[in-house]
Amino acid sequence: MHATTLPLPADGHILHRYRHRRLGLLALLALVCAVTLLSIAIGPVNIPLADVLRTLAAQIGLPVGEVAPQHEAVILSIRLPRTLLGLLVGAGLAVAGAAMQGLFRNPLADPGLIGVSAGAALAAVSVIVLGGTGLAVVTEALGPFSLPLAAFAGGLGTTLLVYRLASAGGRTSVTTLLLAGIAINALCGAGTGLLTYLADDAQLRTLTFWSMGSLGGATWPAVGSAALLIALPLLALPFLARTLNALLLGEAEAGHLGIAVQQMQRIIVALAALAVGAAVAVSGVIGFIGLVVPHLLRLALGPDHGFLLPGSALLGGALLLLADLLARTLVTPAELPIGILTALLGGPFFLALLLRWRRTAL
Amino acid sequence: MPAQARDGAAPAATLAAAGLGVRRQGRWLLDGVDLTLAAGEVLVLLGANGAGKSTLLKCLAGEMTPEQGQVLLNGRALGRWRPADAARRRAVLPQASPLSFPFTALEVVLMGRIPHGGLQGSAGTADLGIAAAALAATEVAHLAERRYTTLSGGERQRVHLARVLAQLWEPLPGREPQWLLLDEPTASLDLAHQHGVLALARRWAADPSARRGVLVVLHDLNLAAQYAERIAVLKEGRLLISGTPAAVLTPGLIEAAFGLAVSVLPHPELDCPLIVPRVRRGGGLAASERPATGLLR
Repeated sequence: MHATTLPLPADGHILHRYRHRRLGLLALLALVCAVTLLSIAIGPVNIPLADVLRTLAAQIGLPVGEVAPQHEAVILSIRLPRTLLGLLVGAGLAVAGAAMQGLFRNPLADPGLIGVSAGAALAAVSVIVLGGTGLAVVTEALGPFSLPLAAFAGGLGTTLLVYRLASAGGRTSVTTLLLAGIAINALCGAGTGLLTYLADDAQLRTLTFWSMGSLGGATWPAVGSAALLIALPLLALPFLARTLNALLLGEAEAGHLGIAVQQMQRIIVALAALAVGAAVAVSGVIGFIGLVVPHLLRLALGPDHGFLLPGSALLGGALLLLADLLARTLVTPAELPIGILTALLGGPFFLALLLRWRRTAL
Repeated sequence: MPAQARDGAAPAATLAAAGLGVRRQGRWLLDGVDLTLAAGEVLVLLGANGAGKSTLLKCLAGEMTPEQGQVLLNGRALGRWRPADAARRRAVLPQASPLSFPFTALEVVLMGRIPHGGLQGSAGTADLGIAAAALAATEVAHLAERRYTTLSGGERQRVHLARVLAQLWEPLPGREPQWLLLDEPTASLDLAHQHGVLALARRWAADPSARRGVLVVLHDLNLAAQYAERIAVLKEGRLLISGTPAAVLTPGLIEAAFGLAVSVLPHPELDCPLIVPRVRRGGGLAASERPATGLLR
C-alpha cells in the first residue's frame, strides 16, 4: 500500500475539471429550460411568458391566476406536446449518436450518416404503405406500436449490419463505415422510393413527412409512445459510460479491463437503435443531431462518456427545439421540414469535420 | 473473492499455460506449449517474428481461446473467472491501442481503475491518487493534463503502462498473486526509457508488499539478458527452451531460434551475458542464412 500517500500533482486539477464539467451540465440544463419556454411561447400566436409559466404551474396543481383560455388551449394541445416531443427526439438522437461513436470508436458515426435512420425509416414506411395489405398481420398484432417497433427493428438491423461490415479484429475502419453507410442509405432510399411509388395519395402525404423529418405530428399519444421507448436508452446508456470509455481503448483492451465486451456491445447497439427507431417513428429522418451535438460537447467537456451522455441528451433536446422553432417561424404560416434545417446546419459542419479528420488522422 | 483451493490451502501462485494449442487456417500457431509464470519473477518471452509470442500472450490474457490445453490463473481455469475478477488479477499492456479520442493522460490511467469501481461509479479520490502515482512511476506525471492524442508514441506507451500498473496497484486481499503481461513494452521507447521500464518491471516483481509476476515479450536479447530472471524462447509455435539467461542465451540456441550467428561474452560490469551479432567484413550476416524474420517493423 504505497500508493495513496504519494503527493498528488494532478489532484487539484482533476477536481477543478470535474467541477467545470458539472457547471457545464448545469448550464445546459438552464439552456434546455429557456429554450423550452421559448418554444412554448413563440409561434403564430405569441403567448406572454407569464401565461406560459402560469399554465405550466397550473398543470402541476399550483394555485396561480387565470390564463386566457385560448392561450391555454394552444399551449396544452399544440405547443406543449410538440415541445416535449422535440426534447425527447433531440435527446434520443444525440445520445444514440454519442453511444454509436463510442461503439465504433469513431466521431463520424452518426445514425443518419451510417444508414441507421434510413433503415428505421424504410421499416416504418413499409408499415405505412403495406400495413393494410402485405404486412396486415404485423399491424394487427402490434396495434399502435407497430410503427415505432418496426422502426426500431429497422434501426437495429442496419446498425448490426454496418457494425459487422466495418469492424474486423477489434478495429473499425472509418472508410468502410462511411462507405457501408452510403450503400445502406442508397438501398433504403431505393426501397422507400419503391414504396412511395406504390403509395396512394393519403399515404404520400405521410411519407413526405418521413423523408424530411418534422415534429408536426406531435400529439399526446405520439409523445407518450416516444417517451416510453426513448426513456429506456436515455436512462440506461449513462450507466454504461465507463464501458463506453473502455471500448474507446479497443475491444481487447476493454476485455482486459474486465468488461464483457460482446455482451455490452449488443446492449449498446440495441439501446442506440431503440432511441433512433423511436425518434424516426414519431418524427421521420432528422439528420446530424447525433453528429453535431456529441462533437460540440467533446470540444467543451472532453470525451468522458460520464459527462458526454447526459450532456448530449440536454444539448440534443435544446438544439432540436431551436431548429424546430426556426422551422415553424421562418416562413409562417407555412412550416419548413426540420430535417432540411438540420441538414443545412449539419452538412457544412460534417464537411469541416472531415477536413480536420483528413489533416490529423489519415 | 480469492480462489480458495478445496482443502483450504493457499491458491496456486502461478499463471500457467498447460499444453496450449492454437490452430488458425490449418496451421498450428502454438503447439503443446507449457509455461508457468511464478510470483516474484520477471519472465521474458523471446522468439523470431511469427514464433507465437503474441498468440501465447493473447491466450494468457484471455483474449484468445486455445483449441487445446488451458490457461490457469491462480489455479483456476481462465474462462471460469468473472471478467472483472480476472481483471483485478492480471493486466495487459498491448503493443498499441486504437484510442483516438482526446482523453487526458490522467483519464486514460484512471480507466485502469475500472475493474475496481462499480458499474458506473466515477473515480474516487483513492483512484486519483493511484493514477497520479502510476503516472509518476512511469515518469509521465508532467503529462497528466495533456491530451492523449497530442502525445508521442513513446509517451503514449508509458501512459498505457501507467494504466496497467494502476489496474494492479494495490495487493489483493490474502496477497493473492497478480500478473502483469507486457507485449513489447520497449518498442517505441528511447534507450533510457527502455531500461527504465524493465527496471520498473523488476521492482514490481520483487516488491515484498505484493506478490506479482511479470511476463515481458521482448526482441532485444541484451535487455532480456539484463532484466530477466528466466527466459522462454518460442520457435514455430513450440517452446524451444526456458531457463536462466546464462543457460538460454548461448550462440547455438540463438542461431537455432533466430537464424543469427552471435558471440556471447560475459558482460564487462554486470553479471549477465552480452550478445554481439557476428557480422562479416562485407556487411553480410555470418549465419548460413539471413533470418526469416518477415516484415521489419
